[in-house]
Amino acid sequence: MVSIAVAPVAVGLTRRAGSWRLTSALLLVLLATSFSLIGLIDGLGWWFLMLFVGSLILVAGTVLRTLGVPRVLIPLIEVAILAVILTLGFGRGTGFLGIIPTTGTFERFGALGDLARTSIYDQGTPAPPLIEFMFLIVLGTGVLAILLDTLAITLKLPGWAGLALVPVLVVPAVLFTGGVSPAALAVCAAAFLFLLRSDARQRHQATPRLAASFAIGAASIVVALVIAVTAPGFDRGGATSFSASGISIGGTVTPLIDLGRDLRRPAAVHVLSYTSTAPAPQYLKLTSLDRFTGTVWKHRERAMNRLPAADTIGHALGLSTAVATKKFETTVHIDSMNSRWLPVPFPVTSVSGLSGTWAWDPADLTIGAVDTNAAGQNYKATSLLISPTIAQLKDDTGLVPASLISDLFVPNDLPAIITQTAVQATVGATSKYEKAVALQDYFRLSDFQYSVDTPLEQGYGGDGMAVIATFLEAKSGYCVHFASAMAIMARTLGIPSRVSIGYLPGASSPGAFGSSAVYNVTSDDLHAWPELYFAGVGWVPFEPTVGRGLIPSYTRPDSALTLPTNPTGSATTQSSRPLVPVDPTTTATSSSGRGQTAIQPVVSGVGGGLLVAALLLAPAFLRRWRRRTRLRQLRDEWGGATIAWSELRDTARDFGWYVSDTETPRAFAARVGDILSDLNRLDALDRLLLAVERESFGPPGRFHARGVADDLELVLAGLEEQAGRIGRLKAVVIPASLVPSAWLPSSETRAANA
Amino acid sequence: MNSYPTRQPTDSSVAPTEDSDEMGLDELRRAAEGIITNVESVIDGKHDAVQTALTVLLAEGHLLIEDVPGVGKTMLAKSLAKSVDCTVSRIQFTPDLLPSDVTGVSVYNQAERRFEFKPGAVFANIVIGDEINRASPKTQSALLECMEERQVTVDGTTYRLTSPFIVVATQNPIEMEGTYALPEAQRDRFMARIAMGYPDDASELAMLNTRDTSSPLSRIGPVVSASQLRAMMTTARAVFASAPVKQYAVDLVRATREDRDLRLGASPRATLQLVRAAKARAALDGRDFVLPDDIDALAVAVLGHRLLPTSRALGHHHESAPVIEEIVLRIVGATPVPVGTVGR
Repeated sequence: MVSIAVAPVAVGLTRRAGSWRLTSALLLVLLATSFSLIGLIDGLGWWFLMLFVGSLILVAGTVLRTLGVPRVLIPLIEVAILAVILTLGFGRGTGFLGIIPTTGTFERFGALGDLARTSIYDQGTPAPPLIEFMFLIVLGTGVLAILLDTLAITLKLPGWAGLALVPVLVVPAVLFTGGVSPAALAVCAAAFLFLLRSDARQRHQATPRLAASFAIGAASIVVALVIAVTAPGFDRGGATSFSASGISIGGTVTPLIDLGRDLRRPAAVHVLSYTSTAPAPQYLKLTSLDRFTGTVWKHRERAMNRLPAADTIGHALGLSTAVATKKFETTVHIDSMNSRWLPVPFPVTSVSGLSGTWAWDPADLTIGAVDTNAAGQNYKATSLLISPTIAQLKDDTGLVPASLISDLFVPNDLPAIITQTAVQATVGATSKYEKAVALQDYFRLSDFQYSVDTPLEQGYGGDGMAVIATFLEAKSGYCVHFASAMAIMARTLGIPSRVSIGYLPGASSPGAFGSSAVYNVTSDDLHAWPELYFAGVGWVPFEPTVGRGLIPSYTRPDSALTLPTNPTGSATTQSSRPLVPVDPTTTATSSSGRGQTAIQPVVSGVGGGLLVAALLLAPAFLRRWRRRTRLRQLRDEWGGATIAWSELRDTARDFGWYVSDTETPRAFAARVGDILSDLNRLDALDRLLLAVERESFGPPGRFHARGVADDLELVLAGLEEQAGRIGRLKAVVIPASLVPSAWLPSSETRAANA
Repeated sequence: MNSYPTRQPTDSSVAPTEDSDEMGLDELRRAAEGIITNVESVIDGKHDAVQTALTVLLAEGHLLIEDVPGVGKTMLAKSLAKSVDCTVSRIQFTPDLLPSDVTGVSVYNQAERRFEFKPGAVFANIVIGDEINRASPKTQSALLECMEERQVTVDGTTYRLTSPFIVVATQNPIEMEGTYALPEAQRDRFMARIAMGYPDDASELAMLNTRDTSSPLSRIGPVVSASQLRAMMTTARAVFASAPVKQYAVDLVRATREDRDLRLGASPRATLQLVRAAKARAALDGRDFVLPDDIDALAVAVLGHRLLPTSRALGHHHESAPVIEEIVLRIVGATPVPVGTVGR
């Protein structure tokens, strides 16, 4: 029987339990947040580290609270714990006694932070689990945990705890091309809702909204997944393959990987359209990646010149007046592209019509935004059509300008296959030009294959030297591989090189010809190609990628001379897109690939798993919620025997009983009594029966059962005990009582109660 | 052979009596147990039948005991009557029994030079009608009118019957020559019909041992007075029947009217008597409110004799009672019990 006297004790206990409940909710939030970071760092070590640190601090906070430590001290103690963890883990013995941070420790931390900053810039996603990243993870998790704990529990402002999550969610939003996956966001949202609800529960000890929260959480996961599946453009952030370049002009973390990802986009997105006065279609160059670190091609940071009022741009480097040039104009309208770089034909001499502040790079004539973005720009670019003769190209004196020394950089540990292949491919070539042509022919004329998926399937998506080595063996890849391979091979042969990224000329609109033709460029036209430097001519593009792009006329000795009119013969016609179409069926398989693009599958896999788990567990949650609601109702006031009876019947149904509503309470009680062996439980059942009969059929107002909840729990325990392990599991996972009995096929008539 | 009514010469008040005061449920239970013990000392192994019979008695209903000869129908009726200290009359129905034998007759008293009413057999608290289906329809209906109206009108004068007034009739279900089966309308007057059934071996053996020498009926005497019985009835009538239970009774009775296996369903009077009987049963159980279980337990007894099965449902059965019992149990099993719909 319940007694009112014990109530204060119970309240005290629940308040304490409430703190633990909030802590668990916070842990869930932390867990959910960690999902959004999956794919940033290789492996799962960081994830366990994150959970370990987070739970350590959160649990410590709650333990301190339970011990009665003053609230003000708790965050300070937590900070101290974090400092100890950091010193232990990253101090390299600089700490006093190894655990107390000293000045040296903080210097070491500062160094790690700097290292982390540069490494973030250097590494693509997923980054290798470097120590500086682990440091960031531990530090970030610790700070987040302390913030969450302080806001949600100490200051009782769980709503503000959501703010603490935002910086964490921004990280993947910046580093992943598509931003945070909606599924991960939904999980975070669900966890956050759960936190709010736990808080409400703790304060009011009422308002059962558990199921509602779960329903909301599950629903948001479902909605997010549906959106992710039905709107690939949204998932990957539209044609914003360079949206990650928020760090600086020309600085994106992994432009070439982003490029590959965009090429694998299931549905091409319209990027821009242009008209051109050039006699032949021209590539639209965004920027050049001229710094090779061994693992990645990057744009080198240089001082940029603001575009002056006249919008004129300096002279192309190394271009002598002897080379025949012809000016042409390209009028571009950018539809959907968030690049910091402006797509223009190379070399550009002037740009007009831009809005916002733009600057140009004197080394490669890249035009980058200072305070704006390429999206929605309408502009007219004047470029030069360079038509060097083969003689001019061959005339390369072999002297490389000092400013281009870095464009010859080759890592010391370059795989031997790259050097060997370069030498083998250029046997017999004497001049640099011949070597370059030989390299291009090596790619185009031997058995290389174009595939956007093979590298992923075999685990070498990217542009590092290890990737290039693998590519040379596998002989299958896409433009990034061809371009970076040729560029690095050219460097081994002494030819300055860089990788350019931009767009293929695209396809002209049907029915339009000549200079008035409007070309439409989509995300499928994203391309990378090498540019090699020849003294007297300057930077000259090559096209090693099999089946894509236009082979420059000056690389074909047979048609060697002068104007490269219509190099592939069909580029100005409406079917001019000289591409190997991306097979939509194979793009689907890329989702199962490894490496960088495994982020999305992992996240959606986690989301899908959570969805499945949520759906599987939803009945269990609903059933538990119903029981808890009923028990709470029973404890809140006297009476309610019919509620208890419903719970008893539902539980019996969960255990596989047939419980018909044509059965009188007495008849049902007799059946229950048959399986109860314990006398206490039998007595409880009798009291329960009496109560429900009195309540349902007795004279009104004369009877209020007391202690119904306790009796009910006794009887339920008896039922559970009898059900067996499998029966109990079944009752938890697939509670039959959630289906109204009226929906069930009515069985044979029950035995009469008589 | 004419069998004239016999009267027990105790407490022969013909005049109607006022309802006695209520008695407590515990007292009622004790008294009822006394009656049951008394009756069961002469009838072995028929607890259910005795229980139902007493229930009907408490509900002031009329009881029809239907079974083959020799299973103790009359013994039950007689022992029940004997347990109560009240007037009992017994009518042996025969084809030549006249209505006036039942109701009474006005005879001319020459000494006083006026007509004088000689009360018939029905002027008793408990009237035992043996083999009621052997009487002519005219006589049957004379009795049945008394049962419903609880009064007798002879030569323009109305005489009220005693209270309590209970008819316990027996009849043989197997049709024989010279019997007149009770029409449905008249069967409806009985609150309940029970069957005795054959006793089990042990009971039959025990009966041989105890009854061989003397009539057991002679050994038992009244255990409750008429006023006590009236108090018990009053208490039973005061038992609370909640709206859900009443609704349940209505649902049940309506279901008999809609059942495909029944040619004739139960009447509204059946509903009334079902609830009344259920109250009595609850009182016997020591409860002051009716449970659906009471309704269920009495459904066959109270509804059974009012129903007519279709010939399809009857099939090759000679007797309808078992068929009807099956149907009623099926209906009971298919009618939802209202738990928790009212009350909170």
